[in-house]
Amino acid sequence: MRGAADSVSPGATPARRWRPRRSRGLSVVVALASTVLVVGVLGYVLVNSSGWARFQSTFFDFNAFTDDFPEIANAFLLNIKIFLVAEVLILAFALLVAIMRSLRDPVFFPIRAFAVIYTDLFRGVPSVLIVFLLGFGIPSLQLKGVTKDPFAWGVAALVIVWVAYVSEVYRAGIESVHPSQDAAARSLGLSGAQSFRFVVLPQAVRRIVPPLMNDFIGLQKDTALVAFLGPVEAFRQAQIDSSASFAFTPYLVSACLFLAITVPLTRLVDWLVARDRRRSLAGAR
Amino acid sequence: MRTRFPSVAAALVVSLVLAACSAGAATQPAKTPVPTLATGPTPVATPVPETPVPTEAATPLPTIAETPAATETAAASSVETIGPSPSVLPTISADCMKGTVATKNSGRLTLSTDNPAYPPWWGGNPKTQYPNEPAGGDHWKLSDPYSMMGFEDAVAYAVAAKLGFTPADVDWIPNTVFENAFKPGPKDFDYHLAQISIRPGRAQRVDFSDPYFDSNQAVISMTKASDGTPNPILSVTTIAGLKPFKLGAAVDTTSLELIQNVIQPDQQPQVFNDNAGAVTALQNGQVDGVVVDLYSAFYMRDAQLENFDTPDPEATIVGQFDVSAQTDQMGIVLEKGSSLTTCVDQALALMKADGTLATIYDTWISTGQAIPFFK
Repeated sequence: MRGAADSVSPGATPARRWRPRRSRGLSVVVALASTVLVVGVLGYVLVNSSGWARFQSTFFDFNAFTDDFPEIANAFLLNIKIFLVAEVLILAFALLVAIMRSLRDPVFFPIRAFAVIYTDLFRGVPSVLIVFLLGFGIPSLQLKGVTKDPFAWGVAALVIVWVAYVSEVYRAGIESVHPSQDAAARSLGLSGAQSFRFVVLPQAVRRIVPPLMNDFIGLQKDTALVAFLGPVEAFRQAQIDSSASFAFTPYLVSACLFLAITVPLTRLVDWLVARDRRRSLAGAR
Repeated sequence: MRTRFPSVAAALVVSLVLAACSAGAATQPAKTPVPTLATGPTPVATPVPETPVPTEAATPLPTIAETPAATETAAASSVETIGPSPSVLPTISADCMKGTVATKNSGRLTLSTDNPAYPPWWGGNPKTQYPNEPAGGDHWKLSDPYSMMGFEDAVAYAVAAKLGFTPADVDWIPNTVFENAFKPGPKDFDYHLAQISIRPGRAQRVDFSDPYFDSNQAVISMTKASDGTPNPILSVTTIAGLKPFKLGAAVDTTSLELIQNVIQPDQQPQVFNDNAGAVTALQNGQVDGVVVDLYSAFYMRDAQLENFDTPDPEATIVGQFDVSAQTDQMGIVLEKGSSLTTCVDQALALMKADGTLATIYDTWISTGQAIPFFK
């Protein structure tokens, strides 16, 4: 990434340079002092509250943490499995729905209408309902040759719900590409489909990577909903451990596992986006 | 920024490796050892951390299970020490009685149970306005604790009566989330009954009364498999015979503990939010059998799963587990360190001695049904 000085216009540069130089040492001290003060006061209030001991033994029981960690981590593998399978399907189907919704020709009206109704419906309905509807509802029909596997139906439910969200992200990306790009491509002799594939879509996808990450972190947390159908994932395992001891520490374990995936993943994507911007702007500087 | 990537990548790799390592570690045997068969009741071997176990968990367990339960008796479960000891009845100390005892609302008792609560533990009709029930704002489903009907409800009111509280002095709080009963900090209720099994780990967070009921777990299945043939699980007579089947249970229950620690099935058990989810999966054929306490199994078989238009029962109770498989003693939940705990214990002791508990048991718990024991 470029330094701060490169990104501001020449007129603003002197002021930006001048200020930090005079107060850098002081600002570090002030930042440090205020942090210590805030954390210290919060910590003091928490630790000296009358219920602290009970709070600590319920939420931060170190022995329970280490005891429950292996089981919950093992169950977390199921979350990862659900997440990976669902993510691939969501990326593909969401693009399809976004394209369906972007079709302009009047002949495609039914397809466009379907895409609009689909996104409206499944973004508005609680995910839990879809999970129950597919996971318990479809097997109760006793259809021949249709799986009753709760994992499969749980993943299907997540895909249906998250395709609605992600297709809107795709659409926003597609619409953010200026029409002149498409016009320029068409003037070069590309067909409408070619222009979309080689000019519009690459630019759109590049722009929506950060919001996509947002949705995938949301999806990852939603994997816990599959547990409603029977499979034991990290959150359900934490609940089981919790009910054996009446402590909430196991939930902390599962939270740490989720963070161990999402935080590095977010940093990785930040880095990819920054690298991409650096490359794409290389000629413009 | 280029230099940042390796550290990020390293963090990712480390976290993945950690997850993988712990997954490997998790293939070790289950942390809770299987209780061994003994003549007396075996305390469930939940590992007890270094903190001392509160007294109510450390008190010697009642001796109801001395007789080996291998014989096929009609009444599977039994009330604690229903022994006639009429000469000297236990007394309740004066500072436990209404007027002196400290409760959430002075002069009243605030009790709590799950909503919905199921027969035979709870009874009554939520639409009925019972004489002792406050008007309006009634959120109860399926049963109504103000009815004073059902085993647990009768126990709750009997304890209250022993402490000098009339039915009109009792208020009920519906508990919709299991966790609510043991969240840290002060409780909204004076005591809580919801067929909760006493466990040493749980007793570190809340107070338990002395046990008032021994519960047996059972396996319930659909009589016919989804293709119409007789369900193969029905021929199982041993605990080991259950291993190949796909079993389910509700989360937060000791039924799930029994699947994991005693049956140790070949397939990962399916865990549901509640018994309703387990029943649905059973009907759908997504699980072969559901483990649940025996009396809830009766209710599932005779009400939830029964289609009254057909002559044959839709569901069958495959068998039950005797006390040597898993001890499930139900206790009343109180706030940790509550001064009421000893009072409730005194009331229960009196109820056991004067026959109140036995009468409640005979009224609400069906006996005379022979359900085979798994060997």
